[in-house]
Amino acid sequence: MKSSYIQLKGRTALVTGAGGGIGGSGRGIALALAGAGANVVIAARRKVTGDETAALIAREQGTALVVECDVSVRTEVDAAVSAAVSTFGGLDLVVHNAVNREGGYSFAIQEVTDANWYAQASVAWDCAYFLAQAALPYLKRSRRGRFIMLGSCAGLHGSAMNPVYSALKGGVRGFVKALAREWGPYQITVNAVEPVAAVDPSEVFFNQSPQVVAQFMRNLPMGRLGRPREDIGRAVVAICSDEFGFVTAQSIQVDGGLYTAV
Amino acid sequence: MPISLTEGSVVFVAVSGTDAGGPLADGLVRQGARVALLTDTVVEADAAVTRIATTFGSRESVAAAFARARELLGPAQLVVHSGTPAISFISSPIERLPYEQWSASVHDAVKCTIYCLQAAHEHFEGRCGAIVVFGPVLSLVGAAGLVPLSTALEAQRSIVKSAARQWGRKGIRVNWVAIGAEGNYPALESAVIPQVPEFGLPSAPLGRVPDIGGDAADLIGFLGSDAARAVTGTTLNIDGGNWMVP
Repeated sequence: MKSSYIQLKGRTALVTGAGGGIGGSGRGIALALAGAGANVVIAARRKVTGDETAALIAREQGTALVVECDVSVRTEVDAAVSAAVSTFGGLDLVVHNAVNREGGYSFAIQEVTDANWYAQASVAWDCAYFLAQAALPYLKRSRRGRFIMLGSCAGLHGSAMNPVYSALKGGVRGFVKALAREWGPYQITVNAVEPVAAVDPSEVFFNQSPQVVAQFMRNLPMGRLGRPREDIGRAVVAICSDEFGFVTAQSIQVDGGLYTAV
Repeated sequence: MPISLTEGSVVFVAVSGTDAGGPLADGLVRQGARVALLTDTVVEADAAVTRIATTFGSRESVAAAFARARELLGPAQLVVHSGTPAISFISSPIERLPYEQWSASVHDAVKCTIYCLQAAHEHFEGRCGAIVVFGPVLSLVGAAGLVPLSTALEAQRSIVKSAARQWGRKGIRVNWVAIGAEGNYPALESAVIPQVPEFGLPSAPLGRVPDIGGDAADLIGFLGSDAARAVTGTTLNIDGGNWMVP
């Protein structure tokens, strides 16, 4: 296994959207967590993609369990949490990364429909709510529980082209601030990671709008997108570590310096 | 240049879920505006305020209310909106929060705001105008027991920014006003409102939390005036200096 100086051995992580495609942030996060020694439960909508992530982890002698899971369905989220607990004896780390690919498409606000809203919101928000309810007993028991959501700088600056995605990711900030206050007494930290990464929605967005890519890259101080495992995954690993045990209610920019107005 | 609405300006106030629209409409009337109050809530308001009962459950119902307001008062230069379902103010730890409350608090709230932004955009088509969306400040800092309200408010604040970016070149400005909760949102009285961790000092440096009908209405009037012509996409926090949010 590619080792990490941070060790999460003995802890169990559940990562939604951990199948992903090539370059998916969920896969990168799962690989990074496994690389730090965590048992990783891969919650993937399509088992085949989850199996691909698990094979990559197994190739590095890591431990993973694949759970086919439509995260917009409560019973399937509950089942994923139960599978984590029954297989590994507990649950310490929850990373809600799953997004609907529609988040990569551009909309004028005046064209947004209820269907657009629910397609994305059921994955981004309802899943977070289901996960919080299902995971809380085990995160309490862990005594070093972590609940991490993937936000986006689009939620901070309010993307002109992705208003629904922006709203949902902005909502993530409100969710983590409130839940962090709620769960602080249990010593569970709740944070958001706001990456700029080569992930599925950004690929869709860039493919749809190639004219904006060059301009976007010019505005990135580090001149590149984040790498799913090395940049985004390891930031998540850091938040899961004991070193970050007193950091909560934060939305942490992992964006190469893109957004500096906070 | 006037820093508030000019006499006779038309303002549509579209407020769902709270009675905040009443004092706000009164405050705008005191500035000389002609105000239509589109609301699904029973509110007290000045007799000069034109009331339009509506529901905010569909794009069509909101569009119809805007059309009715236009029919009665003519085109507006300012649309003021707040969408916070009453159920979203009921404090509950997330583990005991029923799905129905979660869903109404987040999905209905944000859809309501999308419908109002869409109706305002259609109303302003071809004309300049201003939109101000407001809500309690606590979403900026989070509040235990109010995860769905915090989530929805921050989402609304983000979509306000998106709208500001999309519509700025059309001459439509869109801003967010965050209002101190204490005294302004009675439904939150049983909730735990987070306080600034200043030792031994009252929480609001100005000594009071601003009120909706006076302080907030004046600020919103400014945002609707030409003096604020270069202000869009911003969040103005009006809580007496309590949370000095970056």
